[in-house]
Amino acid sequence: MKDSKTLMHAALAGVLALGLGAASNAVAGKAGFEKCAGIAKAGLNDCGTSVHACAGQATKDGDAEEWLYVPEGTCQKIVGGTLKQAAPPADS
Amino acid sequence: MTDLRELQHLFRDAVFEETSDGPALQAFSKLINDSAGLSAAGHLRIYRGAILGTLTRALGNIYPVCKRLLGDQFFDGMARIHARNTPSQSADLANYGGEFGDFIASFEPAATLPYLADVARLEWHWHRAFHAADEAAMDLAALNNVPLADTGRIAFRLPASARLLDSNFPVQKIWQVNQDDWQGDQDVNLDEGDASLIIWRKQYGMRIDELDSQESQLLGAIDNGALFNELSQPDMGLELDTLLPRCYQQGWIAGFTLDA
Repeated sequence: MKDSKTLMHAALAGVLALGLGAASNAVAGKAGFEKCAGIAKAGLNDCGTSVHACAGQATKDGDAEEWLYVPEGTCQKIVGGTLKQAAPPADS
Repeated sequence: MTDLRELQHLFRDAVFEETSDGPALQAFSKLINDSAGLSAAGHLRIYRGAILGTLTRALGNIYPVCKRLLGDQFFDGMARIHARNTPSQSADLANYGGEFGDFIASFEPAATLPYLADVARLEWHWHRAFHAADEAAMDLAALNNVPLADTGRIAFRLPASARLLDSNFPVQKIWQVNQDDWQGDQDVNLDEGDASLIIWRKQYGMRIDELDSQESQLLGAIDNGALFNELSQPDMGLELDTLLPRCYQQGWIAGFTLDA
């Protein structure tokens, strides 16, 4: 078992060696996922991007009702969960 | 006479109470004048609709995967309840929405989707990383100059954008197959297992990286402020001599300070 000081010094030496360009082989590791920030997400502003966005929101003051809460999105594709209720057809 | 503070509270209640015809809205509308063609209550309802609509839409922008998982109707209804219960505390809309994951975890109609709260937390971390400050690389010359006797007092730190997330569900897979540009099928099996993730921004690339147990343990300890000396204790069980360089090379360790 390495003692604490030896371990710290070995770890630091490893980091510094990377900085000096030695031993800079790509690291092994689990998969990662990268997405360009520029296309991944639009910014927010408090009035939306459209000129009339604020006025448009005023028409949406309906009060939510319980029957709305039926998941009908892509969660149907996730199995092993406990989704119990399928969405009714859109025109029923 | 009603004082200003009372007026403000009444106005807040009129905007955020449960229905668009509630007691606060009725009471407040008695204090302002009708105009030609629109009642006082009608004016208030427009204001209310604009605020709740804006917050609901902001949540939809921050949580597009949750919205896709649930469908627009469910999501907007849920988001609206959250917007009413949890008004923004900041004048900057980009700071709004961080409590949504916890809200989802307690939202009864979503209880059939146990992974949903963690998907929301992942999206929040993504949102914050997107808006976080840019990061310079760790100053290796300064690290090299730390006196040997002081190495134990080094406190490494993660990138400013980085947040760690542990989940019992494969949330990064759920997130990935529900992106607009995803080409494959959208099937996910929850039994694929748990996830330890770091969500961060590497220059202009947003990253979700999966961590193994050693990496997760190290980064978690660093995130909690552990000093190098504590990280190197044998009972931590960390193989620091290979682990630290690996995490540094991945970009997960972005700087250090010396603890006083």
